[in-house]
Amino acid sequence: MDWTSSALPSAVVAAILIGLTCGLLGTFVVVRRMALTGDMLAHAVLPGVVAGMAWTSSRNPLVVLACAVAAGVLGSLAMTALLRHSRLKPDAVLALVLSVFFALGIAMISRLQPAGVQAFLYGQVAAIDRPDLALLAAVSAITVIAVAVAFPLLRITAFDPLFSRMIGLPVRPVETLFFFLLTVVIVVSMQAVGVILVTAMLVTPAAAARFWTHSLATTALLACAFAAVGGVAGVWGSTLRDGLPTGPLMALSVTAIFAGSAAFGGLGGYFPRVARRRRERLRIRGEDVLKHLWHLEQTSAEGVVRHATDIAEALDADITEAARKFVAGGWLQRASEGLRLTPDGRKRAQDLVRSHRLWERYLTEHAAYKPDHVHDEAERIEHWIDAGGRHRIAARLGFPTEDPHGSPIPPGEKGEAP
Amino acid sequence: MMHALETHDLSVSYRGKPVLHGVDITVPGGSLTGVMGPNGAGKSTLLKAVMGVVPADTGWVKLLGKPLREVLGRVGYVPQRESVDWDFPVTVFDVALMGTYGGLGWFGRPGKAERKRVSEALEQTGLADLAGRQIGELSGGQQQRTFLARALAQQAEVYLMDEPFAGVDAATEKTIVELLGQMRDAGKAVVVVHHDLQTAPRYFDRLLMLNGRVVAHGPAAEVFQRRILEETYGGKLTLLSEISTLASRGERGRVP
Repeated sequence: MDWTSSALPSAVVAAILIGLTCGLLGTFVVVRRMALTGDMLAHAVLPGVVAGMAWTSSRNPLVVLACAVAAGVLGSLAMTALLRHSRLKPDAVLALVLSVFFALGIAMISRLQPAGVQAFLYGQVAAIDRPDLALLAAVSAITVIAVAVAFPLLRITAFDPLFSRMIGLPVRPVETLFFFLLTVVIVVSMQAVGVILVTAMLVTPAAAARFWTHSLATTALLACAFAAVGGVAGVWGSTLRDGLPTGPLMALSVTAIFAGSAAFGGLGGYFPRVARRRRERLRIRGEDVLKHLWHLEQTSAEGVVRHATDIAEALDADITEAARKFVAGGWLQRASEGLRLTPDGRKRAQDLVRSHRLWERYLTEHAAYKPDHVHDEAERIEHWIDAGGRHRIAARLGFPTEDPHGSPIPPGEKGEAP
Repeated sequence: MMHALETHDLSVSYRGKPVLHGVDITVPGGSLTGVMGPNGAGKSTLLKAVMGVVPADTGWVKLLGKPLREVLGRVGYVPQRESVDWDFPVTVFDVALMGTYGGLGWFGRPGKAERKRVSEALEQTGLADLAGRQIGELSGGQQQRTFLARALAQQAEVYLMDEPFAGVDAATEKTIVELLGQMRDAGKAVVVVHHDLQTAPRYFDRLLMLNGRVVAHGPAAEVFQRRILEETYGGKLTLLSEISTLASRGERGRVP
């Protein structure tokens, strides 16, 4: 992109403002599950944009905005009418409206060839001039104020519209206002990112934010931040080489943020999930080692020592890492010839065996399992029953002392019934 | 005498198909009513018609002696599990707090009194420790109780509940039954769509048996009889539904 020195600061300001508004409204677009509706609106406004630009040779941004919003409203009305009166499903309705309006817009461009329309199609931050920026600032201010004032209302009507109506909240007016604001924001953002990529600025930052928080307010704030950072990164990226377009770079930047969130976000992100699974697997393996040693102690002596490779062979698993963690945790002790249980480890192993045998007993007595069917099930479940769970099961069974195979169930906590 | 809920000659179609025919019911305050019937009997549709979500073909609904729009906020609603977006970024506390929004006006923010009411409702439903949890992280029973907490916080006079016992554990079922009893004792009219015939006569003091029309409605002991159950569950009124479907399709310009 060719930058004149004066265009760069205003492009950065524009990117930040667009990020703020798109992030804010995009949060509601995502939680209302209307991403495709946003996309439809972005395409539906195009005929209005072209008409507005053809109409005013000086490209008055207010006229363009008004025409575009009018087209967007038409698109919304068409959508509502089709949803109500046709048998089409929502996705087909959206695709239909989107493509018809977009086709109309493109046909008008070919016919009328208004100057500067390229910016709306593909996005061109550098083309944003003073009046555009003033309009963008005004729209941003109105959006931020409207959302801040109506935040609880927007949240409850998005979450449970029926309940909202039942308690007398203005569900329809709020929705109409939201659609209107969304259309306006889409039009003013389009100039920077283009028709097709507006959706990326709306949906992607909010979708990324959902990997970090369960609060709607925090989601909105994060989405604003992500969109603004992505926007500025897009502008910066387009200064690096001639011919790099801003809009696509913005879309790619917010997508990079999304990818990072999906990979590292604490709420369902890939790597945290993998790490948690790995931690649990190590814990279970370590607990299996404890149990193995505990069983050996039953037939020989307390404090029996076994070589790690023997344990690994018996369990048919690599126990190196699990053993290291359990030694560090004070459950196992390294002796010269291998591993042995610490008193804490012995207690933990005993609890595991208690869980295992109680569960076997429960399955045979209350779930009609045959005694030879319960071992594998209990082998899995024993790692997930805590002291409270053991107590509840034991109480339910009347504190039994033997499992279905006649092996003794180790005693529970002190004070627990026999 | 003013009824908590009254319908007169209420007929309702859902997606062009007649579902309810000439429903006359009256529900007094301080009562616990179970709405029962086979699948497709129009149980949920009745609730939706009472709430004005689906328009009535004929007849009318009055709540607390008035049309719904005049008593908004005094009527509580517990949705069916499937209709809730469990991924929505809200916590248990947020949802319960929504129960207090009705009294706050459009732009009011909940204050200390509202938060206290919500804390109490969470206490009553055994959710106090889970207040900060996102609703998708809860068990089925906890999820159902969350919406019950919202209903309690709302302090409405009439409650409509669509299958609050669906997919809940035994402990939750017990809690819900107790809470519903308390609500009744506090003078509320509670109308509950229910599926389980086994528990119905124990849980409710009034039963409404539906099968496209009202088969029976009254005190549970009078309604819960073999003859009425057979009439409710023993096959539909084929002619009634077939003929009225024909008429309705014709009126909508479809091939009958």
